[in-house]
Amino acid sequence: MIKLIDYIKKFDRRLVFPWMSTVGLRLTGYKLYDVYNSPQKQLYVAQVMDEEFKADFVYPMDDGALFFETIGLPLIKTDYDFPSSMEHPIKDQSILSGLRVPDPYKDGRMPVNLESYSLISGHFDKPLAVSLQGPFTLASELMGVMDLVRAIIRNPQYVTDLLNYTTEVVLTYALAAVQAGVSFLCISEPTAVLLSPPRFNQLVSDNLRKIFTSTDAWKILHVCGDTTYLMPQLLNCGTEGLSLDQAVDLPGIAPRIPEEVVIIGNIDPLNVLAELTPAEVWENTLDLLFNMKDYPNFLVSFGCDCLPDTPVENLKAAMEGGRTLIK
Amino acid sequence: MEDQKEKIFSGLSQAVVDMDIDSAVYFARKALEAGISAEEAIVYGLSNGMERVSKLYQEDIYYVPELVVCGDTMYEGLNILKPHLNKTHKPLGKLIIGVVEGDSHDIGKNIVAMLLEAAGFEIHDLGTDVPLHHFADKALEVDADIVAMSSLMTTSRGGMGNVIEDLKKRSLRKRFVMVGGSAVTAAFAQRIGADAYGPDAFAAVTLAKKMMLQF
Repeated sequence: MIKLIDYIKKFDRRLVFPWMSTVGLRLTGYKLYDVYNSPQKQLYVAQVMDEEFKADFVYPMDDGALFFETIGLPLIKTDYDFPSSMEHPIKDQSILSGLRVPDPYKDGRMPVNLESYSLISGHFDKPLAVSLQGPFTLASELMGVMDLVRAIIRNPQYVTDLLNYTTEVVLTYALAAVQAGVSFLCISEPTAVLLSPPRFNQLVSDNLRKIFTSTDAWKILHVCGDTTYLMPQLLNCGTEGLSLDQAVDLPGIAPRIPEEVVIIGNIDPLNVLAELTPAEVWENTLDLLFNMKDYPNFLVSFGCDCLPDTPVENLKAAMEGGRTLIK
Repeated sequence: MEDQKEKIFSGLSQAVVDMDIDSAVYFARKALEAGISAEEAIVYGLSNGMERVSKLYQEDIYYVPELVVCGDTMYEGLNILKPHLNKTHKPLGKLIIGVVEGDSHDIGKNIVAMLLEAAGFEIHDLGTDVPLHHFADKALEVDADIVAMSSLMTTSRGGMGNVIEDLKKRSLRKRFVMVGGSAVTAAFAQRIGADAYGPDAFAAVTLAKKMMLQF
């Protein structure tokens, strides 16, 4: 498989990859779980989004709850935004040892998701991008963030065991996802920004390397927040693309990132995409392109998922701006 | 006596920094046995420890896990000292805090509550997924000065505006409203009529202290 850096260099302009799948609900009128449960609807949303915004990658509805929903955590569900876990019962070894790794071909919505990936990837020539929750963040959902950070200090052996489990969950599904046609595999570890650099290495990097070295796809890592202080650790995960939050000064950090690693980011989904006018979004995007013009390893994206109610005209301005050729 | 006091204050402070619950409990009991007021033990011992922890956090020496466990240690000491607070003791201010209905993310809210408690506020933590009318109910019940809300979900953040309206309708006096969370921006806070937007936990403490100066 061609490397991600070589793929993006084939084009004479910047490629654009947005995080905005829930906007597809607004454009189609579908509810979130109607889309999750129907490969045909997933394809239709992907088609509508592609026609409307012309991104350089296609993608299904983001599904950050997939793992903990399949494992059985109770959820708060809404029709037009992602669900979140209400309870975090996996607090100790006795409960953890009763869990098994979900089978992607049998359990919960996983088989339907895999079918959706196959359908979308078969329909488009563009690469299929999927974001999966990473092992550390999944552990925080299972145990609760507060209890997880406590256990990191008070009960490190349990944290290691929990992370071994969550790594297997993510890896097992990631392998099936790649098999189903996913070529841009992003692992999102938003909770990992809570950690010190040594703890990130210990609790996040090793597990991500295990996943990335086992999967034949472009390997991307996204961590929310200002990860400037974690840059050596992020680069130590075996990733070929780093998706960085709007809190990171992209032109400032770019010289520290090897040229074979793709820098992905980081239009602000809140203060720019949600709050400004289309003309201001356009200008903001062009500023980013200009400031990154010396870095051929730059791929235009949002700093994080945009709000479901982000104005469509603003998103179009960002996407069109992102495709502008800056010399 | 002064030496003993200093030793106890220092022991409480260091217990918080070291995340040493046994020592926090030991020195809290020791303070009461020595006739030291609970107020003094909290301010010069436990709160002093949390101030040092905050500094260590801001210097990138401590991170969130340490911050949380230091906070737990402070609470263990507070559990012993608080029942002995003088009846005339006045907190810096009374504050309601919670995550609005539809959202269960709590770490940011918990850290803000912990730092505000250490700063001397009386905290009434409503938890997560809080029905919107509970904020005004509790604010009126305890006569709160500040209502603090957070949301990480775009679908629930709109509820903050309803809480502000509810407070305005039902409250006879000014109560400040502070909002935060990753789904909230300064512009959004202004649109819904919040008095302040806290981009992080430390800013929230500074803002809350400033609000109290306006009464």
